[in-house]
Amino acid sequence: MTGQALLNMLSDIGVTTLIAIGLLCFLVVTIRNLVSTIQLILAARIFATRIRPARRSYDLWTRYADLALPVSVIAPCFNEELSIADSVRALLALEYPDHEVILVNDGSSDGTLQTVIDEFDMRPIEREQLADLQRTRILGVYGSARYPNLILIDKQNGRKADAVNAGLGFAAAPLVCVIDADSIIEPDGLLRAAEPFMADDGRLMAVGGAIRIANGSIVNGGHVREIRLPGQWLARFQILEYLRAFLTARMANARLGMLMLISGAFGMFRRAVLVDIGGYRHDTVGEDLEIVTRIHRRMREEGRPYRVDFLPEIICWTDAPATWTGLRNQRARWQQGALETIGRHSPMLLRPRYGRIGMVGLPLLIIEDVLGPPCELFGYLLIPILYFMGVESGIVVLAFFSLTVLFGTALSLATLALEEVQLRRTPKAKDLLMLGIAAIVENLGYRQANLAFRLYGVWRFVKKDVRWASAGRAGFTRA
Amino acid sequence: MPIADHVARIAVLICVFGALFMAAALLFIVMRRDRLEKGRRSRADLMLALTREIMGHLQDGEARPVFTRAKVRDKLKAVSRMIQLVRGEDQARLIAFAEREGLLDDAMRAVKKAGPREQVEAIRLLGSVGGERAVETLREALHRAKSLEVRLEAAGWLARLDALPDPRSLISDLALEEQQITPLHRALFSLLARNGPEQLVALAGMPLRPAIKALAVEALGWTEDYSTLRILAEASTDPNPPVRLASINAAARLGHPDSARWILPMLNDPVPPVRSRAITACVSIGIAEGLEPIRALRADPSPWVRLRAQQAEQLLAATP
Repeated sequence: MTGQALLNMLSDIGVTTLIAIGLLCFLVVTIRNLVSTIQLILAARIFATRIRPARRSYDLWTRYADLALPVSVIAPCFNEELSIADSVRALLALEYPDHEVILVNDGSSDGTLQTVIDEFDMRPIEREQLADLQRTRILGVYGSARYPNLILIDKQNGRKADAVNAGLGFAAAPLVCVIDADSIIEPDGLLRAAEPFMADDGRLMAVGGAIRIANGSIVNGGHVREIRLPGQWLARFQILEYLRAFLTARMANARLGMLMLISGAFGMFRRAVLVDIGGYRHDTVGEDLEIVTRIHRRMREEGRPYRVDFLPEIICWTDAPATWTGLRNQRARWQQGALETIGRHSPMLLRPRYGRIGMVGLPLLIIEDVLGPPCELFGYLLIPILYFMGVESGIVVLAFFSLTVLFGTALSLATLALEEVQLRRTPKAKDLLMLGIAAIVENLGYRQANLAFRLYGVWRFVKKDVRWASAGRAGFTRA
Repeated sequence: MPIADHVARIAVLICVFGALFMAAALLFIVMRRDRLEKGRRSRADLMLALTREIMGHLQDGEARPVFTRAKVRDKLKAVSRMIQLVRGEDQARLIAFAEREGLLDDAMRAVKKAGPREQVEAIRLLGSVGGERAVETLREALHRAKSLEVRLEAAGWLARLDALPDPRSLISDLALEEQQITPLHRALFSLLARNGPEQLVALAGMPLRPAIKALAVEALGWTEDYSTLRILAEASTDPNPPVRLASINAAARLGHPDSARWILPMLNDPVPPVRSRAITACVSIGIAEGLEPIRALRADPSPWVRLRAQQAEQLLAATP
């Protein structure tokens, strides 16, 4: 065999290998797209056939004021000196007949603790800790002289999971609502989240709500006073992503009994189940995904009937990353958290004992979070490479990119239409148009950057890097 | 040309048409929203005109040109809004008007024939208006609807209209003998208590499963009738903890100091939730004699009992 023939053979093998990998990636991406399409169709069907919750908070009040189950709202905070007073006031003002607010100061190094003590007339109190779930030391427990339902727990720094666990240990209500202190729940959010528990026979373990992006909206006194579309395109792309995630994926997954994520920014849980499983894990950056997966695992292992639900009417506003660096840190953290959860709960994988979670939910999570990002990114790189190698023509490259953009846009627009028909929370017709444009533009850079950020998360996972990287939030726009 | 290129050309063509279709769809959604936004003012004006005409017609029998032209949906919306704002005779006149004009007919039909979603929507509409015919339809839904969820919704609205059936019928209609009792069921029974304690007392004395008995006993607390204390005292020694718990809850709601004599021994109940609830009942009724035994419960093996004892001690000690 001559040298040229050997070179040709190696070249053929290389090209064939590239095409084979490309086909594999195409298969993974196709499955992901197929899943997204099924979720969209299912969500549309659920929206069209479900019995809607009461439309106005007034209805909820009149129906449930007497029977509302007590709720402990656990709000961990860290270095939030400037906004903490507003946040606490908003939590105390939530429309709910019987709720206590447990604020956990997670070893803030600024004046957060003193601000809360001064603003709410907090005094040291004696309070029994019902469960010892945190790993750090509790430095003090305070009660408000003015608000009997406000408790402040001061503790050493130990990150969010540890802070929530500390709050959980002091929570005395049958339901606990875990929120980020810097998120804003709509005034009737607690009542809406507790509603499914009122008519529940004991199976409902947790309820999640929709997270919406408050960038650009006017916030005052811990409430969103005026909903506005953010001026930044980066935030607009994230609005679309959140809509897709919450209105289609979670709606469909909840109906199928496969909801594996309740956002850390807002979730209502039965206290007993959280304590029973030992609270949030301290050694993961994706504690919200991990805890719901662990609830599924425990319930399935014990053979207990249970469900985890999602209600799109529960709205919690959050401040989305306003910079690419912040977005990278956030997405890398999500990716890392997903990989940690998959690794920790891999024994559930494809085991019939774990039902839909083991047979469908986790495999889909793997396709979505382990295989998906590298495969899609590889596809974007492979097509031009094959073109420059002369393996494929320009029209094939054009077709590939056109189909990718078309499919991505179609999913986003369909979700936007679903939101408009069912919930109508986009402020104005003009904003709807801008989001429609964002649905196209996000395919030209944002989506690919996101894939790269997720690969960065994979890298952090491999390196076992557990440092907390800031999401670089801009802060709410105040009136 | 290779087959791949042909396929690619078709794909590009599909993309072009797909993009055009999506642009049209987006435009449609945006225009629809724009029209809704612009029509908001005229809808508000229509509601105002309908409200004025209905009020005028009810008072003086005035002509009602806007009402005659308006859609049933808008008329009903105006009436149900007005009903929230008026009481007594005015409300009765409005309900009679809605029935006379046949505004509730569609909703009544939907309750009987449509699927669960439409049934619930119709039940909510009828419940928000009220009146004899609405109550009759809601009762029928409570009795006959296939879905338990629909029945529960009907029961909730009947409770708001103060038209719930007797407790035995409610148990049967909501299949409570087989179902797990929820807070919603407890709320319905507490509303039944408005009709007097007799039926609930009779129910509490029947050989029912403990959860139902507890439901009846707890509802006695809402009767505001101290004669039921005797029944509660009996229930406090029931072998089933849910019934004992219910008796404390009811006593705490009635708030009569006489119940102290049987609540105090319950501080030593073998079941922690009962002890815990007895502590909170001592606080809410103001049983000062409970302070010493409650202090002793600060060393209880249950953290819940210790927590309640801690809180109760602070409150009772502060009571003069």
